[in-house]
Parts: sequence; structure tokens; C-alpha cells
Amino acid sequence: MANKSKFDESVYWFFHSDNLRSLLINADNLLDSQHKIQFSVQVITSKFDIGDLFNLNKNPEYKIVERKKSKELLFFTIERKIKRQNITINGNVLIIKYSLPNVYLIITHEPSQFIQKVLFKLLDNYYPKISRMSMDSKSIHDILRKLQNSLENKNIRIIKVIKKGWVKSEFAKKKMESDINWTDKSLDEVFQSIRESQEWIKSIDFAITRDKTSNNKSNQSLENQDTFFGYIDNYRISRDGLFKCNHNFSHMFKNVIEEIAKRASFNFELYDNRNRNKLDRYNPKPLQIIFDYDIFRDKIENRRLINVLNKISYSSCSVYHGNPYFQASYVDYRDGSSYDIWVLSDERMTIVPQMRSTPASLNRLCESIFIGFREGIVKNFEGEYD
Amino acid sequence: MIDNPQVDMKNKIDDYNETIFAILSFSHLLRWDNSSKKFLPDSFLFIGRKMDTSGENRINPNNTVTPDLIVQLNKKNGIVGEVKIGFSVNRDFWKSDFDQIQKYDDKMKGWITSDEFIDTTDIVLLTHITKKIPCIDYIKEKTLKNEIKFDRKFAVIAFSKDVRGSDVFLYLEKAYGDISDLEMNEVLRKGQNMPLSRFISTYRVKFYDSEPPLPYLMSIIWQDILPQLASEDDLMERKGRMIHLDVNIGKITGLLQEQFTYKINHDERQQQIPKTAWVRTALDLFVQLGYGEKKGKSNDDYIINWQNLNKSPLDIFIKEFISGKRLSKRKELPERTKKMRLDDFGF
Repeated sequence: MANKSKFDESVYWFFHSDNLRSLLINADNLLDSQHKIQFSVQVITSKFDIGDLFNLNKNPEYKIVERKKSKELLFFTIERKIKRQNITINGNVLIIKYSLPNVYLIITHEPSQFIQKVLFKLLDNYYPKISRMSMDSKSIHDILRKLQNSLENKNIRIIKVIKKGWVKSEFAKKKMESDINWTDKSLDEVFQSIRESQEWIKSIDFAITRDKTSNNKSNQSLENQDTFFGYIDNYRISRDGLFKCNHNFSHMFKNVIEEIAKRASFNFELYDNRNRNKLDRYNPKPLQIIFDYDIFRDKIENRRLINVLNKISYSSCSVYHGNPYFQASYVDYRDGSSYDIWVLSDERMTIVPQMRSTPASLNRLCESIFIGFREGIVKNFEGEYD
Repeated sequence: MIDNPQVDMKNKIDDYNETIFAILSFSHLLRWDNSSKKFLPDSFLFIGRKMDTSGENRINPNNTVTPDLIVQLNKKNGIVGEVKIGFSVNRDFWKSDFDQIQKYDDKMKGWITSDEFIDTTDIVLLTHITKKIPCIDYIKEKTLKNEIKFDRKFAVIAFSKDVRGSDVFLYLEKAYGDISDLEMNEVLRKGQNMPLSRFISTYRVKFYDSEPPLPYLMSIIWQDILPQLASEDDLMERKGRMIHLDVNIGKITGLLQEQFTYKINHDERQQQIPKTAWVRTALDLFVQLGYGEKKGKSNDDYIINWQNLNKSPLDIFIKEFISGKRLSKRKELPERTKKMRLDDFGF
């Protein structure tokens, strides 16, 4: 079976955009004229030139062809032969070299099958040189609140929520529970409920509707307001930095995608250059994850943390002390990064990167703790040392 | 008591780490200036340092001794310490421990000053809080008999881990004697909880001047040292599957010494820890357990097959150390790939 990505004429101009400005115009025109098209934007971070990485691809499973290159944009066709399933899937992507350092945006109109089975698998092969960013539930809420503020006389309506919760029952074999809610609630209603139930967001689908109580029919921030009647428009934001939309691309780019990119850039900066090295006299540069309450007061949580760390793929964790304090050493076999992990107070844990540490690996470790244990805030450690 | 060798080994590792906490906490208490948020100027910490005794040394004249701990407070004052988390059940063996400490009761050479001498030296014995009473009883008894004698200030500092409220502390308490700094003497008399969360993770120390339990050393080599020998591209390609690493004992020892001991302001007097012999024992055990092999006829070169062990390397190495055989699964590479990797090593 072969999935042939037809290079539809309707998307030709989009993929042949010369710069970001023309891309945004072409995307809006395309969504206005072709209602079945949906754009997916994946925010990634890398210290490397993505174009070079793709062009130097050695993985025989993938065929990557550069179709066009400009200062801001790269246009690639990617094909993957999945031998086990005897299928070939291909598709086109545009890569934006974003204005913030180390941040790239990958845009495609291809279906989920291409995104999941080709694009994500390809990006995963480049770990740790390429990292898909992660956002916690609060970041998603903040981004959507900012979007809400940009909408005059219109409201975000949440139509689908995929969320997960931590099962804390002593007798439970499952550590996580999932929930998919088809709903029609306001933004704050949904996030308040998530906070109260101590869950985390995997993805949120939303629509934008006219505020029926308002008489003001002017629309300064969104074009073609008529398209916002009903739930014709559909947007999805995911914690792994994927955003999907079928309307108002340029508005979403400015108010959502760029916000995701800023957070990706912030996290990359926070996670970068943490390895101990000779120039810095091998001094550690630790990070802390601060939780919103004194979670470690209950020492059973130490055991839960060990279980979470033990379940991270391609890694192992040696626990030197588990109770009452926690001292462990974690190694990521995919890139050789290693970290000491300490819990010495009830509301925070400290991660001390050792000789090798990459932003991708730190992101993977922190995200695994967030989704497996509890979401927290990652900060630079300010301790007593010269 | 339950005879469980794994628990026993974990306890030994715990004791080893607690000793490191005690050394660092005691030194941090003495050196950290909370007002300037810096270490005191001209203050130094050395974990294991060769010092020259004088001709007047009662026990070991004109020789070299290696105290576990040297804290130089400034250009005039310093503290020499020995750390003993436990003592033998048989008190007959304590004599050598206290003889060792009395060797430091001397105008020793080796401080960071122009002539390597300082004016005032105090002597401390750091021991676990559970040992303080027997230790004090012994010192008093032997002092009365004139078998233990100090001309300089001598103090026993007891330590223990302590959890209070939301923080984990290393508790330090002066159990016997005095030190010269009156203010610090009083602080220690009352007892001082050192909050480990503020500073312990910023020290990179995983070894002190005493041989660590072998599984502990092996797990550090496995997790923190061996990955440094592989290129990022190789690791990306292998995805946790076995990778054959060319290992030289001198290089591994050097990396451990440079990266996991307190090696600031080091000079030729500094004790090299971990010792090459300890590392050799660890690498030989890797070979014995089937994690690698000696390379050619060299005694110093090995090939270690590094791979994702899936479970805690520490727990695996403890079990294998006790049983003397390999328990973790091996994931061999396909023959073709393996040959290719061996070619890389010039086979």
C-alpha cells in the first residue's frame, strides 16, 4: 500500500512562499478557499541547522529531498518506507527558521498519519540534536488566555480535552488515568476543573465563537468573522508543541504559535549548557523543580518518584537513598546524559546535570516527571556556592 | 538481625555518602560566609592531603601523614580532621585510630601560606552521633591514663542525618573538647543543623579518602564516566543498545579524580582519590561479570560493553557483586554490526 501525497495545486503557492510574510498570506488564502485543509505546526528546538541535518540524513528508512530553500524557509519532501507494514508514506513540510535562536517551526497540511508515522518518527531519530518542546498545563492556559485577550467580542470555547491524572491509590496497578472529554465550556472553567482535579493536559481542541451578548459586530483582530459562527473552525494545542488550525492562520501564528515558540526558546535556554565542564572547573549548574505544595511531606511520594524515573525509556536510575530524603543518579542511554537527582525538602527536587547534558535530555527528564509525577516549575538552582 | 547482604551493602553505601555529607557540611559551616554569600577569603577545603610532620611529632616524626580533612580558615588558622563513621566493636582496635589522630597534634607543613605553616591548628574527630558516647568514654579513660594526649585544641564532632519539618539536615554537634574559634565552638556546642538542600548538590564530591563500596564505584563509572567515552552520534545510532567502549584505566581514574572529588586549589600534596587500584578492581569485576574484556596483553586497557541495563545499575551491581555472576540481560548487537564496531577498535 502506498500513500501518495499529491502535490495539490492549491497548496503549491503556500509551499513556494518566499518568506514568512508571504507564507502567512498564502496560508490564510488557502484556508479561506479550501475548507478541508488543516495546518499543523510543530515547534522544535535545535542547536543545529535543521536543513543540514535533513540533507545529511543517513537513515535508509527515510528519503528527504530539499525542494526549495530561502533565508527564512526550507521546503522538504519526506518519505518513509515502513517495511514492517509494507507501506510508504510521504508528505511535504515547510520549516521556518524562527527569529528566536534554536527554534524552528515545521508546518504541513498533511494528515495525522504523516505527522505521527513520518514526521515525529523522523524527529525522534534526531534526538538529542532535535527536541520537540514540551509545555505544562499552565503554559497552555496562559497561551490560550493571551489568545482570548486578542479576540474582541469573541470567546474561546473548549470542545475537546484530553487530560490525564495521576492514580495515587496504593493498590492501583495503573499509575495514570486518561480522560477524553467532549465538551462546550469556557477556557477558565476547563482549567479550573483541571487544577482542582490535579490533572494535566495532553491536548485541547477549541473553537472561537462570537459573543452573542455583544452588539459590537466590528472585528479588528480576526478576518472573515462570519467563519466563526458555529464550530466550523477548529484548533488544537498539544503539550508537545503541536498546534493545528483550519482557520485564521496568521492570527493564530501571532497569538499562539509565536507564544509556543517563545516558551520553547525559554526552555531551551534554561536547559542548555548545563553540563559540568573543565572551563567552569566542573562546577555543577543545577535546576530545581518546584511543586505547588509540599508533596514530599508524604514519603510515599518518594516511592512514586522512583517508579516514574524507572519507567522512562532508554534510561536507568540508581537510587542511593530513598527515604526520608532522595538521592539518585539517572542516565539517559540515548545520548549519554547523566543527572544526580535530590529531594531534600518537601516542595522541590534538584536535578544536577553531570558531564554530559543536553536540552533534549533535560526536557525529556522534566517532562517525564511532570506527566508521571506532578507538574511543577523548573528554575535555576540558587544555592550556597561561589 | 536479618542477614541480608544486599541491605548490608546498601547500608555501607549509605554510610559512605553520609561521611561525605559530614565532611562537606562541617567544612561548609566553617567556610561559608552568609553575609557575603561567598566562602571566606583564603579559606580552603582539602579532602585527604599529605602533610609533613615535624621532628617533634610524638608518634610519627619527620614523616608524611594524610588527614581525611583539612579546612584552612585563613592564613593563620586551620583544622585537621579525621572522619570515622563507626568504630570496631573490639575496642582494642581503636588505639590505631586514635594514634592516627594524635599524629596531627603537631606543627605540620603543607598549608596554603608562603612557608606552608600556620599559627593555630585544631584537631577534630568527626564521628556518627551513635558513636559519640563510647568514643568520649574511651578518650576520657585513655586521657586519664595518659595514653591519649593533645597539646592542641581537640574536639569530637558528632554528626547525623536529620529530617525536621520540610528539610533534610546534617546535624553537627560538639560532643567533646573545644575548637579555637569561640563563636564556632559555641555554635557547635549547641548543635547546628546544616540544610543539605542549600549546598550539598553543588559539591560534586562522590569520593573521599577511603575506598568506596565496589558496586557504588561501578555504578558511577557506568553512569557518569563510560558515556563520556562514546560520541553523541554513536549513542544516537545505538539507542541504548550495546556499544563497545575502549577503556584505559588511567583515563577512567583521571576522569573520576577530576570530576567527582573536591579538586579546587589542588597541588602535589593532594591525595589522588579514587586510587587507581580501586578503579582496577572495579574494571576487573566488570570483566569477571561479563561486561567486557581485557584488551590484548595490556593490564590497563579494557573493552567494556556499555548498554541500557533497563534496571538500576546500582542494584544490579550489588546483586552481581554478592553473587559473583552476571544477572542482567545482555543485548548483543547483530553479528555484522558487532564486527563493524570491533573494526573501529583496530581488530
